[in-house]
Amino acid sequence: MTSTFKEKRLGSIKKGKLASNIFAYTILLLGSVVMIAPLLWMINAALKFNQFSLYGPLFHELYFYNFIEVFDTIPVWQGFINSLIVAIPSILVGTFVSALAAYSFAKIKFKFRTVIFVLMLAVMMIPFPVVMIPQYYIFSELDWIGTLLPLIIPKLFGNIMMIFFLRQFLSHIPDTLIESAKIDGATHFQIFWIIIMPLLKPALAAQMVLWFIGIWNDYLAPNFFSAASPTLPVVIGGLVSDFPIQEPVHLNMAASIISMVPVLVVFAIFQKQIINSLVLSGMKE
Amino acid sequence: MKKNKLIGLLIAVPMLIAGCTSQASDGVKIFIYGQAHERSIYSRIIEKFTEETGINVNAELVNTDGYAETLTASLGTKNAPDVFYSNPASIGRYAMNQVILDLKPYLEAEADEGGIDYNDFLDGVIDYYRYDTVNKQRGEGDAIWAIPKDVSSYPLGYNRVIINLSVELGHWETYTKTGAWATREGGMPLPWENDPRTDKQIVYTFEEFTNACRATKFTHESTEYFGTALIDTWAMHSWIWAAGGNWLSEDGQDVTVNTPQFIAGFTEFIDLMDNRGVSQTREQMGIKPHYDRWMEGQVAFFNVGVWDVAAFESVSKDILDYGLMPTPRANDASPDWYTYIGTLGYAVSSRSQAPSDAVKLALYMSMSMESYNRMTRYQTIQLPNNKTMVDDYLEDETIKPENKGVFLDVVQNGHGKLHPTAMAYNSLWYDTFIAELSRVWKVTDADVSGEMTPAEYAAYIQPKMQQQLDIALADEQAGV
Amino acid sequence: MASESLPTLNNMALTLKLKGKKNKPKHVTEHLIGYLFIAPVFIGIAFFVIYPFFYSLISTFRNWNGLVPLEFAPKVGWEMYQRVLTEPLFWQSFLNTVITLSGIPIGMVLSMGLALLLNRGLKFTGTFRVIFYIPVVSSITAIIILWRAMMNTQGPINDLLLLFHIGPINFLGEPGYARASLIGMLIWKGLGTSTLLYLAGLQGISDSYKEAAKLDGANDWQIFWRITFPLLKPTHFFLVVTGIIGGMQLYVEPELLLNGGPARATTTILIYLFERFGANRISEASVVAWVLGVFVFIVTAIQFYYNSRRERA
Repeated sequence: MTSTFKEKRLGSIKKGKLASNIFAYTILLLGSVVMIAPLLWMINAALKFNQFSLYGPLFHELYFYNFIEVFDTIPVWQGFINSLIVAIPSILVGTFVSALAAYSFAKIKFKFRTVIFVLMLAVMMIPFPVVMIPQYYIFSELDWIGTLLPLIIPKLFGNIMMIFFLRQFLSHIPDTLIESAKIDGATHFQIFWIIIMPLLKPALAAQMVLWFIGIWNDYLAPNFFSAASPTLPVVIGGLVSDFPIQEPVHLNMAASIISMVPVLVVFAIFQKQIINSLVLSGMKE
Repeated sequence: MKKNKLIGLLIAVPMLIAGCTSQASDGVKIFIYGQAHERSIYSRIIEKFTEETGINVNAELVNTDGYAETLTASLGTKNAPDVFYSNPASIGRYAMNQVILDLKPYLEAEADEGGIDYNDFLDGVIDYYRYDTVNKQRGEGDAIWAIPKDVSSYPLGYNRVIINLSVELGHWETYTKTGAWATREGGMPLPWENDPRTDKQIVYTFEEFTNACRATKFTHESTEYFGTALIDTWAMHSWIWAAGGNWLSEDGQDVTVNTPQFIAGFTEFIDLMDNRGVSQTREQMGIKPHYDRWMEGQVAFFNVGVWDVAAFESVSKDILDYGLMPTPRANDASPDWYTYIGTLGYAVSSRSQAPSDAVKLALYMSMSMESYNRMTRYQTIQLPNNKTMVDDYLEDETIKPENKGVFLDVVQNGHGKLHPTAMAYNSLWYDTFIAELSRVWKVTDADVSGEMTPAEYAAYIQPKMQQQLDIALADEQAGV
Repeated sequence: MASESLPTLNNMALTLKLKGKKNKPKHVTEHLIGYLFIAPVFIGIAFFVIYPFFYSLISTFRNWNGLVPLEFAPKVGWEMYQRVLTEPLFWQSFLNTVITLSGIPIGMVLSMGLALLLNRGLKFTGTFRVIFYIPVVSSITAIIILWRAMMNTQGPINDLLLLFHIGPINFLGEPGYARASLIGMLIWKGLGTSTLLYLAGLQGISDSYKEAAKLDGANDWQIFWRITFPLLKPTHFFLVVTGIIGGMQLYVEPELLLNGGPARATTTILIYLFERFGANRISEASVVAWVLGVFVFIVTAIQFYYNSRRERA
């Protein structure tokens, strides 16, 4: 018997799905090759015996000792720990403060709300060198120069980029939700903590990852304010300026790979968080 | 609740640690930079200083990156270091803004008390650190604003291996047996030989140098050798100065890059690098820089700075057996050859609480025996600063290279001029020249020439440079 | 968000422990709480950013070299502005910077496509996501070395072009091509971040919308164009705004890859600013920063204006 219309339709839908899946995989694979190229080259370079065979054939030398030699050449551990000391409190406190502010900008109607928001956005546009020297004067008065405090304290007060993104995200949550909770007698803070925060999880996760990466890779500010307590990028940068000619690229790459590990770990962890939190909050059926 | 405690800890602990870092060594604070091996040497010299004088030193030794910005910001605050680096270009500004001390009284006192005598420094170098704040003239005046840390020069070097090969293969004679040497056996004297007419190490003319490069540009046993491969920003000054040109006029008011002499030297240099087939092409340079080729023994003539000696020594003599030689002179009529001089000094902050101690430290770092041993004798990082050690230096065969006298020759015998970046109040006028220099180069090897000839470029860029110089001069007059 | 999820959320609200509070006039409390919540951010910015900001604003009217506190710098009126605004290089660097912004829309299209692909629940999606993020976290030095090696006249890209009888092209030596190479590198480097953000945005779109549309007979393209794309507007907006803000401040990549060249083709505003900074002409650097800031502010404000108008519609 000829198959029914429905079966035929299902069959062609299945085929269509297969074709588009193959298409998807191809693109993703091609893209991955392009994206992973620098990492492969970095690993290749990190395993070279010295900087002179850098442009030689790929993966010809597998000199793993470089990863140990790096620790002898520059204070990697110190940089690592300093970077952590800066990143962890900054992100934990700063995210909370930012989320609170984003909620306020998005959902609480107070006077001058939009004006203040746009002004804060304007602040994002100020390039660092402009405020660099005056900030130095401030930190010098406080005796914070050379410590990590100039890097941490300002971040505790929030991250404008994050506020911006979270506000966008929140603007799509219907106001009625908040209204009904208020009618039931909840305070804004309760609404924020119990309802909004879970809803924000994917956005929070994404922004926290980005912020972590920004802090982890920041070179300019730590070098300027806290060179005496160097963070990891400053430590690695020391390799470049210590050897202006014939830079030991192999060591630089080894150090950079070590530096990348926490970032990728954070990323991998938060990735799951984005998916899991969605399942729990019942947003996807 | 456990989670909250954890988060609380994660916040509190790092912040406590962060606040507690660093601080509280007493004594003279010195803030300088150096490469890793240099920094450990500085540490040892400082230790010895404390041992000998009992003066405590708080040393902050960092790497080069970001030093300038941090220093600038700190000079206006209580974080200003007692001793720090300054070059001849910046002392003018520092002096006018009163952030550094006139060291003359302290230096005189030291000399009188039998300490290190600053007059023993190599002749003429202290003058680089004079600045007349009234007449806004560099190199003039009674005040001395910094103690020189070192002075170095950048003459040419030759690779004996390649030149011998060239002689062996007959190329040397083929290309150099012309002009003044047309009748001489074997062609022109080799770079390390003396000129029979002057009985001193030979100084090639532009043309003779080109011939030498042609003689050393060949392929032998599948290795390609190049006559020369010089880096524009450091090397072209030699050609320009030898041709009689200069970057600024005598009074420092005008940019003189479009004078005939400047253009002559400039054109000669660019021609040599791009059009005579004796050097790497720009394309090749993009793949392997000149420096790398020299280190692999493929370039016959390349600049050698004092700071390069350690690196060059580390290469096997089979590949790179190098020596020093003067840069070329213009022609037979002119005996003048020049290369640039670089120098750095120690300045003392006007906020210093212990200026005479600071001066003692700076003098020690610069001119003591300890410093000579560590910086010049054991490691050839810099030239001897003390006139009294010059003879020792020249005779000491453990200090390389053998004919190191050429370094000193440049400084002592008038063959050196300060690098253009030190010629004015700031160096933006010079940077303008360098930024668009690529207009003179060929883009791909197939091109006939660059976008502009050197003469066209000089005419094009001079107004832009002059504009920057005028701003610098205005600032200087305003004492900013 | 889909209204169907409201019942679930309302349940959450009902389970709150309700404290009986005296009723203050609602709107006053409302305002106070609003201000309270933004207070930390505001204080931080006021102290660490706005104060230095005004410090630097004042410095634009003086000739400041950064060596001594501002009080001691001579007042010069508009002279610093005159210096900067009459210098051709300033305007050229402005133009150069704006040119690099052309990479933003290209990057958005590519990353949106990638996010769509990654959102299908295919196997190994997690791995792909990490891989695509690698350029973002790679050391900039590695990326620069890599691109230099790829783009030089004997590198792989020119080899590829030779197969088509094109070239060789000196990507890094010729002004036009150098700009293109820079933009290419920036797009490639930024893909990871924008893809991540689009993914977050996509996962905020309830499937029920799409299901409903499918039942109505819409095909994939219509679903994308009529439903998904518009619902991603917050992300689009964020990426354009931050792209412009960040793009106008471009510094590290053109400086390290090309040194602002060749012949000033990729000298961006910040490169120009840092040159002035390094020559101790701090006031001029501040002028540049201010002009830049005002420009970006106006552009962003315009974007916000149009965005809110559309939202009201």
